[in-house]
Amino acid sequence: MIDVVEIEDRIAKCEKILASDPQSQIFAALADAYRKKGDIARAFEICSQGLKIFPEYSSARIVLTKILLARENYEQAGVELERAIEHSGRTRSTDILEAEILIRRGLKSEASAIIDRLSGTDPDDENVKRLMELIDKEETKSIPIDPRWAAPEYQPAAGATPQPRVERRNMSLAQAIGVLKVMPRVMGALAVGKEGLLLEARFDSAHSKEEFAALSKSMYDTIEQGLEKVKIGEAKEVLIETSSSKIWIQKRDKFLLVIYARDDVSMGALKLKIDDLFRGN
Amino acid sequence: MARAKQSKQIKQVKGKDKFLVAVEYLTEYTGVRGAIIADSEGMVIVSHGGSSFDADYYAALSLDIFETVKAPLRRLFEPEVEFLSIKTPVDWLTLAWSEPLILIVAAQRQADDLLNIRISRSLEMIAANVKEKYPILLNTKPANSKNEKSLEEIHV
Repeated sequence: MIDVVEIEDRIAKCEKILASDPQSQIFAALADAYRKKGDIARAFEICSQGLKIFPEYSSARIVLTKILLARENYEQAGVELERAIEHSGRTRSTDILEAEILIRRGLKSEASAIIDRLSGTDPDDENVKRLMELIDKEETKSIPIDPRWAAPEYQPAAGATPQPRVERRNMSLAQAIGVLKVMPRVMGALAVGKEGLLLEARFDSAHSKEEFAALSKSMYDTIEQGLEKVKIGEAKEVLIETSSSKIWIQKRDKFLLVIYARDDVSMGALKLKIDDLFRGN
Repeated sequence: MARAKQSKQIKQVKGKDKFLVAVEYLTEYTGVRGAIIADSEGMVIVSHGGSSFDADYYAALSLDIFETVKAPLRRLFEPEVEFLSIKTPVDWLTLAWSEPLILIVAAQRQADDLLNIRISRSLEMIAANVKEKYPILLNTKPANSKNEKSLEEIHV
């Protein structure tokens, strides 16, 4: 139960600080207090104004995400959350918010993957229990797929790669990529066509996903050419590690699967999930 | 079986070259065809493997691959490659950088993943040996990186 007196008190204090220093980052706390009070319009106005001065203030982006959720603007809430993650990385709170946005958008399979992970680390978390209740209530919707691929009459151009499906789970490629992307410490999951064009991607990084796809394909091709010289066969998997990240490229039947992750990602868990999702592809 | 092998300690024979000990430690593991320590120009310093294992060829190839993978990574703001693992249907090739040297391990695809632990331990041994016997190498930039720019130089 929200303590109204406490909220009013907090609003008064934050207003006072902001009045004496209009450049203060207290605007985020003030906006959040208004959100909790139920004054969503005022909360949105304060947070949006503050972010014009501090566009990289991740905490304020998180508050704005919550405000947009309250306004039922789930698409924009997802965009704001991505921006917050871009600046400050993933946390348990961002995962909870992402799961809620996915549920509200009807993307239950992606949300379930996050909730499973959150529940595994803290099954008593009230937020996780709330998400579990929410996922049971919300209607499942299909993931919007690029109409070029979805239209039954669509015929790919000569040489073009039609978007594959992940047969094992009867999931679309977009869904499978989404499941991989929400695994811990995964910064990006991409499916790259044979011509180096992006088929699907979920990507946190500041890099352009198209550029990342093209460079991954280029690295894979170079390695392939090198392997031909020693005649040890076609590369099925390439793992590149730097001190801060890992890039794992797997050759599937119709595309290259590229995972971009932090250096401390669990390769074992990732391997199991990929095997489960893409068996036979 | 493989686990039991993995836990085996690196045998130190007095007077034996530690680089050789490091590669032999790898080649005694089930499924490993050969292991090489090469310098930054692809020249073999020490190698161990079966008669069909062409160390010179693998060393040259590895340097080529390292070089070609480095360029795109720099465009992705990534620091230098430290480890590269390539799996084909029958082979598993690992290239690991231990400045200023490269460790190359060629194994069967089906070799146990715990081979990675042996590779890590060999790298530690190589680093310790370089520090102890060839400290001057650590103060000299490898030849292949003399014209490289730092990340700041590239992006600022």
